[in-house]
Amino acid sequence: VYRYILGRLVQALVSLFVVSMVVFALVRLSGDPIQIMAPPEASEKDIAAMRAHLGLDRPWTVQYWRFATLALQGDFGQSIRFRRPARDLILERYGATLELGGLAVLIVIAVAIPVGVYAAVARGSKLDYAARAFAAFGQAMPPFWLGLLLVLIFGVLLHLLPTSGRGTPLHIVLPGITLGWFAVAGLMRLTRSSMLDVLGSEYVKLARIKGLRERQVIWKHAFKNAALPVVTFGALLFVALLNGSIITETVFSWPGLGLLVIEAVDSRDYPIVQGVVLCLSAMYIGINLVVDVLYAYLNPKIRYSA
Amino acid sequence: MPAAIARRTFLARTGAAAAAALAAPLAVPSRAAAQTDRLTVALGQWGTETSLPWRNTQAEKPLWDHVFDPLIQRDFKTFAGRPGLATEWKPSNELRTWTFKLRPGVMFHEGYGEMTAEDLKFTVEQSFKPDAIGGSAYFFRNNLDRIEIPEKHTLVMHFKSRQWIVPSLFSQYVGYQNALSRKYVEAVGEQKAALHPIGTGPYRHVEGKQGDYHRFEAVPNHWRKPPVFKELVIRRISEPATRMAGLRSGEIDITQVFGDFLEQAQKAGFRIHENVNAAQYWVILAGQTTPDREDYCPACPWVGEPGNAKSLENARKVRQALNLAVNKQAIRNGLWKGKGSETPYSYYYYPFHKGYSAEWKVPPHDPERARKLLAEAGQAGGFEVRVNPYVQLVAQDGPDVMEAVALDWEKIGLKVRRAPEATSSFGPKGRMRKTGKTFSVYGAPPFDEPVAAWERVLTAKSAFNLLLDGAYDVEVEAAMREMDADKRAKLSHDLGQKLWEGYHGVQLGTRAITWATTRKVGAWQTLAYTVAETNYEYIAAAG
Repeated sequence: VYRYILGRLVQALVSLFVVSMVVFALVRLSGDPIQIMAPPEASEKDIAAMRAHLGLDRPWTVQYWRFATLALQGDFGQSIRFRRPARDLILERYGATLELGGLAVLIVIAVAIPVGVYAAVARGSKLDYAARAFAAFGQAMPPFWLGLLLVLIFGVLLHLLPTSGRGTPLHIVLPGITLGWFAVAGLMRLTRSSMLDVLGSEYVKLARIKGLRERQVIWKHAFKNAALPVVTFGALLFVALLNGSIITETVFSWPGLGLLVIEAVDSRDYPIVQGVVLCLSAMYIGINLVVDVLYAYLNPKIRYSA
Repeated sequence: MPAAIARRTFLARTGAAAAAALAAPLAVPSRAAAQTDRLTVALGQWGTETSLPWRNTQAEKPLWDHVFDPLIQRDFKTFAGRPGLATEWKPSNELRTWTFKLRPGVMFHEGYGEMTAEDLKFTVEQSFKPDAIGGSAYFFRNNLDRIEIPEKHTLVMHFKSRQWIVPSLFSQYVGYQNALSRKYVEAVGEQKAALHPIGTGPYRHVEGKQGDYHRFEAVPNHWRKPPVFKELVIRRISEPATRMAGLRSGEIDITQVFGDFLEQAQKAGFRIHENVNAAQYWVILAGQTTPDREDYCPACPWVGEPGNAKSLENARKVRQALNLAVNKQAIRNGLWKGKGSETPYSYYYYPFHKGYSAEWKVPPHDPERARKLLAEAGQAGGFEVRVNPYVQLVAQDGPDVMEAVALDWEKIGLKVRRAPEATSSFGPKGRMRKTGKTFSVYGAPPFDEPVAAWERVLTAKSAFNLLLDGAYDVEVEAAMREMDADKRAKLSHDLGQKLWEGYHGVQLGTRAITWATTRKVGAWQTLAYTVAETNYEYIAAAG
């Protein structure tokens, strides 16, 4: 077990290292931030001086070493555009993103799993058809369209909810639903199909023959075994939700990480792009690692094959 | 079975929480209810959000201009300079020295004392910091010799050479040099001062969140113009459809609208405020640059070989054909919804400029003649051009306009390749003249004199090529060197004439900038010819 975990840990560190190199190279390959920032009055000499001041004239290897060593200490450098520590900007915006992602996660858990399970149990019923229609509809509908539709109905026509921004608890309702909607549909479909697989198995039939209550059969025996793919998909989905959504944040002008990254990409703000990508990648890799370890714990076959 | 109970409890609780969140709007009224003394403005973008003159750009003006008073105000209608914080300004020593007399008794917000020449000197001198790359920092760094303060309200700036452009740098909208409180910036540091600016303007910054909103309060009895609305909130909403929804729900009072959103706002009964002739539109025909640049293309039909009169004349005919092929009326009606005009212009030459000519008419739509001209130039079969339909601050409808132009060019036999690329990567390529000879739509803002713009975008040394490079360096330099305003106007007129006759860009007309406002907003004295939201203190309440 320990060898397995150690192996996965080393893989995670290598992945993080590769990500840091890729993001470092990509933002530089996309062009020179000074060319965007410098006003028309700036001469070539001025531009060169500015580049030197920001350390962008040094060899890539030197720049990478500096970036990597500082990043290990949680310092992503100064935002080229805002002249503030990139870490501060990321942390400031991450609060808003966590808030939005948190609500989306709650909506997903509360809706997708129970509906998915009961749609499988009552296969062919009206609930099942309704759930499948909802899932198809949810996955087909683009978030920007859904967001604008919700804004039109609840903000413009009914005047019940704010159309954009962040401030009161009401402001989060529409972006939360928009962000969670797609995930609900996906997780619900997966839960349903996973449950269908196990509901026909012998041990579930045996549980019923033994006279166990239906609720126990479903939740204790069937769902527990159906949960493995759901946990994997759910974990990655939750990280995605917690990492925000550029589209939802743009539609609702939600001042989170998504909007920050879009602006940073537009202005080639290296430190912010690097900082955000590294943080999000670390989160993904970390969650993957936890899921891998949990898998090994839950399913011994995986441990041995590793 | 404690585990099973816990799971059920968990599911029940999370379900209840989600249901509560979904039902919340039914129980709590929206805060969208409009407040009569609050004005909420939604902006699509606001640049770097910094108010410091040595770090900001034009994009920040709609966010911060009302926190400050410019030294030189502008006349709403004529754009001419009027006394602001400076009661007078005059040159001496053959325009090497500029003296500004400052208005006494003007106070900084939050008790930071009276604004004096010391504050202004401090502000200007920040341009010498190594990381000062905004505003007019480069101008001061390269040209300013020293500053003297003979008395509390007099600022004397000595320059290394003769400079007629100095007042422009301290003027409303075009200039950047808002007076900052030295005491404040030194006390709190640059970073905090950038996010919570202290000025002397009609609105005081109260609080804000970067990337989200900023809130301001009216300064009672402000010396220049006490605002009617006691509170001003400026929100950043990048998506135009969301801005429109905010307007319709009553959360927003003012927002810029164009294209279909303008039509929607009109249909919904919102007031439309219009700034006519604010942005001159033309298509930049890349390739007209100097031989040392990658974009240089003497073989391109619209450029021609230098020194070869026949080739240059043919290229001029091709450029004229590209102008005549475009149906400007269709752009004005279909895309600008009637909010554009055929007001004559030469590039950057506005009607308020000395030497302006009403003869500089926008070329008509004449595809037949365009085809003839192409044939005369030996291009009867057409040729291939590359265009970038992209959004710019000064031409937010760039993609639609570029597409309209491309469709018209295709009708006269050109093969148009669309190569969409965002400003973030296309802008720097334009600066380096490495666009791959790609055409794009541009909306020109006004400068105090057209030659001030030409120096930035029309010479071999210019930062950008927004029309052509190099061909008129001598003329631009001569006009910049001329210190007599009337003689300079004559030189500018002559060059304006040459540029217009040369068809160097494809003139499309002048677009009005339009804002939709709710019923609580009355008259608004926006500054003529400007494309951004400013002058919030000059907004009257409706009724």
